[in-house]
Order: sequence, then C-alpha cells, then structure tokens
Amino acid sequence: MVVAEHWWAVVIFALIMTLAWLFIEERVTTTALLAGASWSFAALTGGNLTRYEVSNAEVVTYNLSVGYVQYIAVFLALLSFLVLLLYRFGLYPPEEDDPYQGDPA
Amino acid sequence: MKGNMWAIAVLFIGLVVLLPAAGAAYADNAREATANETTTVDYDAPYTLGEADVEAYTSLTVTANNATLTNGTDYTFDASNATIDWLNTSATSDGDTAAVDYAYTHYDTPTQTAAMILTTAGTWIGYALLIVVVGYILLMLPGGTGGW
Repeated sequence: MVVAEHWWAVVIFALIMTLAWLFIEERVTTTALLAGASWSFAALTGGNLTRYEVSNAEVVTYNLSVGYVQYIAVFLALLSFLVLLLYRFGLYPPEEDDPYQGDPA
Repeated sequence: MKGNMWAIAVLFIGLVVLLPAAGAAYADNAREATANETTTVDYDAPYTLGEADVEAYTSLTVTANNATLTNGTDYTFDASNATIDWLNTSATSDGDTAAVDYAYTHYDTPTQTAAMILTTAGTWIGYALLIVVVGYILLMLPGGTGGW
C-alpha cells in the first residue's frame, strides 16, 4: 500500500523523465527507462493508495484509488519503453522530415 | 546500434532492479476487504462464496447452530474455486442456516488491467532489452564482429 503523496511524487518524477526523453533527447536510455519504470509503478499501485489525515486529534486513514488514471500511466509506461528500444536501435529520435526543409524560397 | 558501458549499466539496473521492484509493489498492493454471507447447509451441493474473483483469502469463519465449524472436519474449503463442501457431521444438519464470514485481498479492475497489459508487454520488452544488452557484450568481446 502506497501513501498517496508518495504516489504523486513518483508521478511527477515520471512526468519529468518523460518530458526529458521527449524534448531534451539527452541520456535517452536513462530517462526513458526511469520514466517507464516509474509509470509502471504508478499504474500498478494507483488502485490502493493511503491517505492519513488528522481529525479531532486522531489520525484517520483513508483508502483511495486514482481509477482510470492508471490506464494513462500504462500508456506512458509502454510509450517510454518503446522509445527506449527504438533509441537503442537508432530509430529514435526520428530524422527531421519537414517536407519544406531545403526548399528554395 | 548505439552502445557503451554506461548504457549497459543502465539497462542492467533497469532489468534487474526497477522492473522487479514495480512487480513487488504490485504484489504488496492488494486491497483488503471482508464479507459476511449466510447460506443453507446442503450436503449435496457446495456453496460458492460471493467474492470468488479474489487474489487470496486471508481468513474464513463458518458458524452454524451457534457453533464455529472446523475446516476439514465439518466442511472443506477449496480456495481455488471459492467453494465450501459441507461434510455430514453431527455439527450440522441438511438445511441448517450457516453464516460465512471471510476476509480477502483483491485488485480493482484498473489495477488488474494494468498488470495484465504490463505483464504481457513487459515480457516482450524485457526480452528485447536483454537482446540489446547481450548484443553490446558481444560487440565488446575481443574480436567481436560489431556487425549487427
């Protein structure tokens, strides 16, 4: 069982890693692998999160689920792993394929 | 293929540590729940628990005639099929009302679906990453072909 705040911290980390392989395109192996593993963790544990709140001087425990957000996490995990594989085989990032590039003005 | 020692180390750590860690987190993440049901003792027909699609049953208490019945003596519980087979003993009679209280762990639907997708895809992705790692090692061997 994962504390909700910890789960969101993992999601933010996964998001940063995803943005890193998407835009920075440096250390893609590391960022894509960390993004894939973090999204996988988020997808697999998002159904049973715990939140602790203090009410009337007592700690109350709540169980909650992020529901369909888990599917988004699965998608991003698979996407990150796919990028990892494509990058290792030299297929990511794609070549610039702008049809107007090089055209005379 | 692009390759260097750093990439091999990252992939190795990923395969050996991160992905199994995600699996372990999943295994430790089953939601706990309880159920209370009443049924009728029927020596000819087993009783199927209302919550049959669960990860595991953590406890089971069956009472009838104000007495707690014993698993293996008064009934047999088949966890894989979630059924209770009534045994013909002095503790119960055919037609008696029995209370079945049990606790179990289960995963909700999104979690089950996520696990199924990631397990299926992860197996193939794991093999592909393993091929990449083995390829790097072969490339670095003395006399390695470096041709693939």
